[in-house]
Amino acid sequence: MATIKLIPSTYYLSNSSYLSVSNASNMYSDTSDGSYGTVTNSRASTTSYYIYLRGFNFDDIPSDAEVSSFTVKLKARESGVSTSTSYVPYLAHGTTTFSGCSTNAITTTASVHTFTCNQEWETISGYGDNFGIRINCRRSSRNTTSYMYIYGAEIEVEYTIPEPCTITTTLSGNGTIEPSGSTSTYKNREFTVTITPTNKSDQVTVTNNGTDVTSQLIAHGSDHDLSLTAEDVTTSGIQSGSSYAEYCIGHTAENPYSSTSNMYASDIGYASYSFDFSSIPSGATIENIEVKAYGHRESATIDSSHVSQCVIYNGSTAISEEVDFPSTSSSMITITPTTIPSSLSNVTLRHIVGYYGGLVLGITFTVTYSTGSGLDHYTYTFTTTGDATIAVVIGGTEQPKLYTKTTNGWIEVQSAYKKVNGAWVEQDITTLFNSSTNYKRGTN
Amino acid sequence: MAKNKIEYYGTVLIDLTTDTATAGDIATGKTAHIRSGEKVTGTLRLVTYYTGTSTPSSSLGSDGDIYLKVAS
Repeated sequence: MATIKLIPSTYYLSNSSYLSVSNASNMYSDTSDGSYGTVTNSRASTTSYYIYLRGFNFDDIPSDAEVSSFTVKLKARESGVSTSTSYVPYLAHGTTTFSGCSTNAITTTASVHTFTCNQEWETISGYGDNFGIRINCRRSSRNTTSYMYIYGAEIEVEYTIPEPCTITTTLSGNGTIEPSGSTSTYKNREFTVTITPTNKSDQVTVTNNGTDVTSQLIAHGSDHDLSLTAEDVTTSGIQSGSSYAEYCIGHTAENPYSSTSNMYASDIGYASYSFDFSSIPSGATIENIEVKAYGHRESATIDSSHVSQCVIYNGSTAISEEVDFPSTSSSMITITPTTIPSSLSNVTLRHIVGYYGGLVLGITFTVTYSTGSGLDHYTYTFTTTGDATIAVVIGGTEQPKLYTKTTNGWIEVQSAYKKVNGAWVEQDITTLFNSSTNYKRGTN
Repeated sequence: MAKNKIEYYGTVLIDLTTDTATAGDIATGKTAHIRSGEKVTGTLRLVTYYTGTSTPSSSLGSDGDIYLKVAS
């Protein structure tokens, strides 16, 4: 386990006419020292003006580190600044604060303040230089010049560097494996090899460092999952110049564009996102659709006039419920259709927005489709313990196999039993069934 | 004597003469009338098969039943 402290390296003022900073370099340290930078609010008004401490160098953490915890701290004191709980420091991305990520009020005594934080590390670090600590320099009285003394701030991060290992996969026979060759990964990670025989009926055997693991193969039917991002967008009723809809083009919901802007409509408008479904073979059966969207709303209110929601459309017909972005902070929503269309050619995701605005930052449109019956490929998944060689052999003497169809498609039977004299006795699958007996499916 | 076809003033009220089910097609213990009009008791044995991801529970099923274990 390693620990690192990330410290600020820059600041941003919400109003540089009324706020000024002296000895700024003293703020670019952790919370352990006694030197400080001073923020002076010169305006005779009880208006909130903010300094944002930014530039925490997330790149100092190794790229392969696994972060186990992080804590954000600020050391400061004030003179003449409002100490109301309404004006406490917050964590922020850009100028938007994270709801619930605050600390207690700064006082006239220099002290270290630890932030509560309900955000994931990936979220925080993903904002990079856009992440910061917002400190309100609002005067407690309009006629008293206020000063905020900032000694430093830190993000204390605990992380581990996983041990690397190499998985080598080899193939003998006709077909493909993925990945092929040497793959660098880490110990205690899940690793999956996908095996697709050219001849679907060929026997597949797999060894892991010489140990036969064929029984751990999972056979998959011919269902396919296709994940797409938005390719294009058209808008209707969106205010002129509000072109933010294009931000999410090409961005997944899991890896969204970073923006705090909003798209607005004069009344109710929408951005209609389209997708490239051309890789789905003609004649395929659409089994399922799931759309994830990452975004936010401008107003915390959710009603008919404060709209920021997503709906799946087939042509001009809505085929899903309306799912609202729940918060002014960006979050993920999932939209599924109430009816699955036979063709996706006219299917779009519509982001409906009202006067108060909102924005989608990333979309993942996942389609599950079937191209027929029968087996398609196998997967072998294991947890890495070190270097390993996975040898796949396709072909050879074919052994009989037995499959049963479940809600997950056709699954290979690993073993079979027959009840004899009240006890279950394992059987040879080749003699288990016969054509002179009638069978019915039972419920366990 | 069993009857397999009944006419009433030229109107066929019931006609079993072309039915094809036999006692072997009818589940064991169930009764029905076959094409001869004779009442028979079914003898068809249905074996129940179960599917699961673990070894079968001893309380499951009865003698002759089958259990198929698949990957979880």
